Amino acid sequence: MNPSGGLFWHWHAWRHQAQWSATCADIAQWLGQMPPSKDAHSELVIVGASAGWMMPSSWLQGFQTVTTFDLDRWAAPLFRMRHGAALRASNTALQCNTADALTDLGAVLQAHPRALVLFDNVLGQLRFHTPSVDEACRRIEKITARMHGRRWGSVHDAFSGRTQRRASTASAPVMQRSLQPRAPAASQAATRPVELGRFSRQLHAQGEWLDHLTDHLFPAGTPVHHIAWPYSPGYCHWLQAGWINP
Amino acid sequence: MTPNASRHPNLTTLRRRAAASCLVAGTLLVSCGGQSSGTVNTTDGSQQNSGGGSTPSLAMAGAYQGSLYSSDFVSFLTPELAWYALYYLQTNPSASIYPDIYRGALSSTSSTSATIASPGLTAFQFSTHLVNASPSHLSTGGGSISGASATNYQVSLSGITLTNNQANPSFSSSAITSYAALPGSWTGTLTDNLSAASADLTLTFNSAGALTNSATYAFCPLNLTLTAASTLTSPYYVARLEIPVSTGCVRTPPSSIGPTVLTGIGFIHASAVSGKKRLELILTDTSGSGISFRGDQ
Repeated sequence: MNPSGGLFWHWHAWRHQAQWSATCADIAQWLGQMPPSKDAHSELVIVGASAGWMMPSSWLQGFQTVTTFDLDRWAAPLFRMRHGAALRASNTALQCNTADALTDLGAVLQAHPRALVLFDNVLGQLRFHTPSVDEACRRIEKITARMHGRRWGSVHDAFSGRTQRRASTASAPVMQRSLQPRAPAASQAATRPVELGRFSRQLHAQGEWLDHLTDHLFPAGTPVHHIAWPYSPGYCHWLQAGWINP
Repeated sequence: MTPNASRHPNLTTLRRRAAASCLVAGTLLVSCGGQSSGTVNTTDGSQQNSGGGSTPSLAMAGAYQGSLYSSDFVSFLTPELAWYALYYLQTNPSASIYPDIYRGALSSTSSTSATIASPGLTAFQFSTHLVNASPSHLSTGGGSISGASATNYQVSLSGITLTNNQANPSFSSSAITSYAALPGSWTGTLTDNLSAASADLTLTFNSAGALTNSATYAFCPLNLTLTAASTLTSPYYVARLEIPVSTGCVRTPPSSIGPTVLTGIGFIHASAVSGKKRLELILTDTSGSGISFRGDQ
């Protein structure tokens, strides 16, 4: 079983398109703020693309080439099914790969030296694919270090857990923005801006939430969008999204 | 859309004449004449249809197009007794963009039929088995091809289950006109069921049939050459694809020390897109696992 993909995920995503529309709109707004390309040929590489359930085809149409990577055997055909016609209409060349782009990140970056790289809800899943929390943290650090000098972005889980009320579009808080704070020194407690405290309260979290280990993924000073994702009734994800433009 | 062979009376007539001559002579379908192809070499090294100057070894050889469960099924029967087909199943959306590849070796033929003795037929399919970890499924079977007329044949496959779980399909296909018009650029999609990889590519060929632009899918560089060939009435191309050893390429086995070679055919017919021609490429390895390309010009 793939803990963060597979056919169940696609079925769930397909079923919840309407319920997730507000989340998708927030993500679309953030996607539109991507760092501009200096090249005439604009290329996008999506790592962990799945079927692109939560991104609009219209955003992808702005690129001349879109290359996707996902481990899930269903991702490539479903991505093409979902976005292929629109991309053909805009003369955007689509390449879909079933591969572990995180393990082969060096080769991916080498093959696409000028591409904008989007980690699409994948870095927050690493704790499910590594034997320990420490190893997951180290892997995230390695990946972000490898992206030095590149234009890249990530949307990922920050936290997830149960909510006091049935999560719905109506009850979800609106998207918030903040700047990535500096990592606190070992002796200091982590603090969050006031507006994020309000955001977390509006999530109506219940019990203990899962930390997806992405708190320090972005460099300090990165504008970060905080998005509520009512994943299923009574369960919500707190997404973070940010772009890095060196 | 299925192009109708009757729109090309000259070629249809030629094919009918070829079939008729076989029947009159009472010879086997595969033994009309002693030459293996009806091609002539041109000054630029390419080959063109000789227009009947020589006799093909298989009168029914040529390009065919049919519909199976409302989905496109294109096939080509070569004079060398090989049958290649692509099935673009559309009842399952995920499979429609990953065509199944069929390859058969004709084991016996007569004036009106040809047989693919089991296990001479291989089906390389996009697997829709929900719990199957691999996106591809390779199976073998047999089949028969019977020509009710020279412009139509009936295909019956045995031991093969279609991607939509229909077993032992039987359907008809109509002869379609193929063209010797390779040089230039073809824009379309290459698919490989082995990894479920797909790539929108432009393949540009020179007059000698060599790929002149750099083309790669899923870390697999393509060194592709098409050599012109022809049946009596149907030009086609003998295809050879070499994939050099490449890290990350699913067609490069971990222990591979040499390039992977896939062989097959290509043929050009009228595209479903009005005013365009369509190149179909079918390439397989010795097991029947392969890749396909469909592009328009």
